[in-house]
Amino acid sequence: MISPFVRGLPLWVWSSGAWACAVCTDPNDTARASFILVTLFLTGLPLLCIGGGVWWLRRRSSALEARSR
Amino acid sequence: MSGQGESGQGDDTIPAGELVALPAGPPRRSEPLLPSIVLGTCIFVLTEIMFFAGMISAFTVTRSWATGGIWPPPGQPRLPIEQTAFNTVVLLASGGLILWAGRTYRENPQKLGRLLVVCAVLGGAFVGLQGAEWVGLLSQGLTLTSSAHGSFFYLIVGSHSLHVVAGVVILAVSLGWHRAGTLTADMLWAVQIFWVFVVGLWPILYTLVYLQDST
Repeated sequence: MISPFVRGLPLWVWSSGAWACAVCTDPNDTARASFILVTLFLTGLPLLCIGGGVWWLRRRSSALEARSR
Repeated sequence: MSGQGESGQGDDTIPAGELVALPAGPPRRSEPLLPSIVLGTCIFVLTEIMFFAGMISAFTVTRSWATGGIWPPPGQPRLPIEQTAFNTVVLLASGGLILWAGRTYRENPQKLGRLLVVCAVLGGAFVGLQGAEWVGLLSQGLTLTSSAHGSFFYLIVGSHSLHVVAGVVILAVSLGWHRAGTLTADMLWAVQIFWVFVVGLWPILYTLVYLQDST
């Protein structure tokens, strides 16, 4: 009797062959690179915008408090 | 009704001339951290940034799939880089003027109206020149359905042009408010944020869509 763990082991070992994303496994290097690039861009941009906004608000808050004293 | 009023004692009233300690708390600012109209505009601009970021990303990935790395696809017209470079300068000048408008509002509000007119006229000129460019491209066969090149060109540049038109309308409305004496500094600040976003976005789109088109 083969345990479920042993039966599932091949799936775990060769899971890289089961990628669902067509672009991730695209043989075209340029397409793959640009996909990774835009993923980073779309991940980082909102964080950068929100982080920049929070930083600017803190700076403005300090400046307004200094002015009101 | 309090018991004090009914009894007519009034023992806990504060004698005249006595100092009273107010409850301690953080010092209050006279100015809000961010006016509501400015906060709303910032949130709107953030969503617009992501809207254009999505289109730029889709364009970048589609471009990388081009057969043989050739972009634009064979048989498609080249974009007029020089004419649009001049158009870019026109829009950037308008952006510079709107930044100057904030200072003018504080120092010499009478001149603000003229500045808003010039900004709106430059924005309108940008849209007009772009329209002329589109007529030329359409006659050369670049349409929304001719190829992925045409689709992305009209989608990205067209979306930006719609924003420029909206910006020109906002500038015209602001001019009306200014003449009526109802334009506040916060309102002008919100207008500046939107217009600077529209102007600042264009060089990025020009580089990605036009300049990379020639490589």
